[in-house]
Formats: sequence, structure tokens, C-alpha cells
Amino acid sequence: MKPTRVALWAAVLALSFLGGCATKAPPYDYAAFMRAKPATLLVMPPVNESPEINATSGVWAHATLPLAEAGYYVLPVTLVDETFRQNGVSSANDAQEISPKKLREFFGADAAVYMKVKKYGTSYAVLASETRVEVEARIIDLRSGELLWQGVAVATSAEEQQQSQGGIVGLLVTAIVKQIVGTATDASYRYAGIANQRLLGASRYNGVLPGPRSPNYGKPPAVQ
Amino acid sequence: MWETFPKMQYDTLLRPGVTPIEQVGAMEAQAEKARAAGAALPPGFRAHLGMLKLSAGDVDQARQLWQAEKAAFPESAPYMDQLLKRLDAPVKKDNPA
Repeated sequence: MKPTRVALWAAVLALSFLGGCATKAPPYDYAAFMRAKPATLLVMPPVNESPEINATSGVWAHATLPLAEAGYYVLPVTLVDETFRQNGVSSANDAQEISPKKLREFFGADAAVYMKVKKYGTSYAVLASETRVEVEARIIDLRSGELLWQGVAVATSAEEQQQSQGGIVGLLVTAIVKQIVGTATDASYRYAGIANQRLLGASRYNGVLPGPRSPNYGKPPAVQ
Repeated sequence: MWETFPKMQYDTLLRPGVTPIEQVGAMEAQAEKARAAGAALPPGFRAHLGMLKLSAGDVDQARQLWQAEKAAFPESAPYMDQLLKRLDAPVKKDNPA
């Protein structure tokens, strides 16, 4: 690639990045969601794309609370896990391959929540280790197979890290200590809770619509 | 009243095939606390406790709790009925349908 072209691309990327910061995402099209009116949600085992083996359990366990508080009945994930296992479905990938029709027949849910864990864990960088959880979700109507909603969310320890005192050595020590503590106490599990709340909690801009058990059910979506 | 229920679900999901019977005490204490406070138990709480009871061999308690889940959350009925049906039928693992 010629240097001029590289420079051009860099400029284009920089512009689109700045543009992304300045403008709000366009409002989500809730037409299908509003038509479908799901009441019961089946949260499927999340597919894990991170190297951390606990990611599926961490994200799955944190999905019920925000969706239930949003006004939905969420099928009990531990029993759903057991049901899949007893029927020979032992991986999240296999589970997510099952047809909506079959899921509907067995679980009786109106819609299923398909999640993917993009990042999960604590990484050690020279000056600051970071615990980061990135998740995405799609809600699919099990009666029609239609996509009702999708979204992404991130939670990271970097949000709450203070400027550390004590110069470069202090920073290095902080980074190492943070990684050890982060791993030992399963910090990722905590950040998975924050990420899921941001992803699946109701009344967020472009977020999940409130369900039938919510006092906000049927009200227009949040505008900011 | 969620308290540690998400964490209990997490601990259960982490160890597939192992049912954490030790959660029963804490869950019954939470249920008692919720009753005293007039607070609602979260969806899936009774169903999860029922699963633990079943692992401990208490079929009657499991049945009661799954029916209680249905009563508290009628939306759970199709799934709870599937589980109850299997509970009452002789176990045939090679013929799940």
C-alpha cells in the first residue's frame, strides 16, 4: 500500500471515529418488538469467544435479573442448563443451533435471548491491567423466528481506575496487584453483572423494551 | 428479593452435573426472610430450589416447588409442566420425548 493511501485511510478513520463520538446512534426500530409483545424469555447459554472458561456461566447467571426487573418472566437458567444437558446438548454453540420451533415446543417461551461473550477477563498490560467484559445479545421471537432486538454493552475496570500516585514503579506494582486480585476474586463475574445490566436493563436508550410485568409496559421507548 | 440468587445460579452453572445441595439452607432462609418481609421471590427461585430438592431425593418437595413456581409465575407453566410430567413418569433417559 502506498503511503499516501495509508494516510488517506487514517484520515477517513479518524473522521468517522470523531463522527461516532459526536452523534448519538439512530433510534432503534422497535416495530417488530412492539408487535410481538413477548412475555416469557428463554435466555440461551451464551456463546463464549473469550479464552476464559467461566465466561458462559458468568454472563448467563447475570442475565435473569435485568430482564426480570425489566418486566419479563425469565426461565430458570440452571434448569434450562440441566434440560439441555439431559438431552445431549452440552455446548452453547449446539444449543444456539436448535430451531426456534423446537425451543418454543419444549420451553413454551415467546422469545429467546441469544448472547455472545466477546471479551471476558483480566489482561495484564504494562501500566494498567484491565478487567473487561463485552457482551452482545439478540432477542428472537420463537413463534415467528423474527429478530426483535439486538444490542451490545461493555463494562471495564478502566472506568473506575484512579490516577495512581508513586511514579512508574507504583504504576507497575498496581497493575500486577490488580491482575492478581482481579483473577483471584473473579472480578470478571462482577463486571459481567454491570455489562448485562447495561445490555439488558429496560428504559435505556435503544435498550430492551419494558415487559408486561413492568409498570412502564407499553410506554414509548426511552429517548436518551 | 434477589440477594445471592444470581451467585447461586452462577455456582451451579460452573459445575455441570454437580447439584450444590449446600445451597438449600441459604435459599430456605431467604424464602423465610422474603415471607416475613412480604417481599416477592425472583423468577426461577422456587424452580431452582425444587431442582436441588430433587437431587437430594425429595420428589414431593420438588413437585411442590415447581407447582409454586407455576402459581407465582403462570408464564412458567409450559416448562414447569414438562418437568412435572417427567417427574411423575418413570425415568427413561433414552427416550426424552
